[in-house]
Amino acid sequence: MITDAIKSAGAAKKGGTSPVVDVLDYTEPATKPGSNLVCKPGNDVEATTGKAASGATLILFTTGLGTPTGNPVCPVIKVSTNSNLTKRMNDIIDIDCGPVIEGEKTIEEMGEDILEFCIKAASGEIIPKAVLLNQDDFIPWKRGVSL
Amino acid sequence: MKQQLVKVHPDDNVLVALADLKKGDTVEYKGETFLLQDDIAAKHKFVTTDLQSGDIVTMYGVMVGKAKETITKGSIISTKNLKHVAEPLKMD
Repeated sequence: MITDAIKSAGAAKKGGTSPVVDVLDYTEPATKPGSNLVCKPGNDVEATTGKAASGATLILFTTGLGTPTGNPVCPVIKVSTNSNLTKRMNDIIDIDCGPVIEGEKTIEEMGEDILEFCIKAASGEIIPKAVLLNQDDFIPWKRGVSL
Repeated sequence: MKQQLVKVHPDDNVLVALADLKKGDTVEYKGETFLLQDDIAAKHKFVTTDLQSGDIVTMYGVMVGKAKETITKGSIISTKNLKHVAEPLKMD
């Protein structure tokens, strides 16, 4: 990443390209269908706790370094950016997106795979790793700087 | 077949290398060929057009920097030849 804009544009890209329908404060319930932005800190568990509180019923968690994060009420699906992480932490990663950076799959093909996984997870056909591991992480954000 | 390059957004004027590419290699992306002016290691990017100093680099479909100097087609972008610029905040 050469400039701050490349870093930040890449981060924003993870949220997809759907029009933003609402901007919510931490734990504020989502009421409009579509892409809602939620105010939350960067801390993994404070973030997932807030998303579940706003009404998320499935959380897709992208990670390049790896995290075991789960949630007591909402399944958290861990999406790895690289296959090395998937091999290293196979017990906690649900979806390997490494084939994109390896040049084996297009971003669109990988997106279809992720959607299929989400439908299966939502239908109970696949149990995400965090659920199998009883990873019931719960930390409400106390506002302010959080690392 | 293994892809060597990816363009993240159709409006981008940079391509991302998915494999280690060598200076002097000719690579092809969607019918267009590029003669590489530098070694481009995997995950690094090169420009798809000739840029003059001050020209905009677009990635993810948005402005992510301006050329500090002439960057010829097929050259790597780095902290040496690219400076940070972003769109100003607009409140509609």
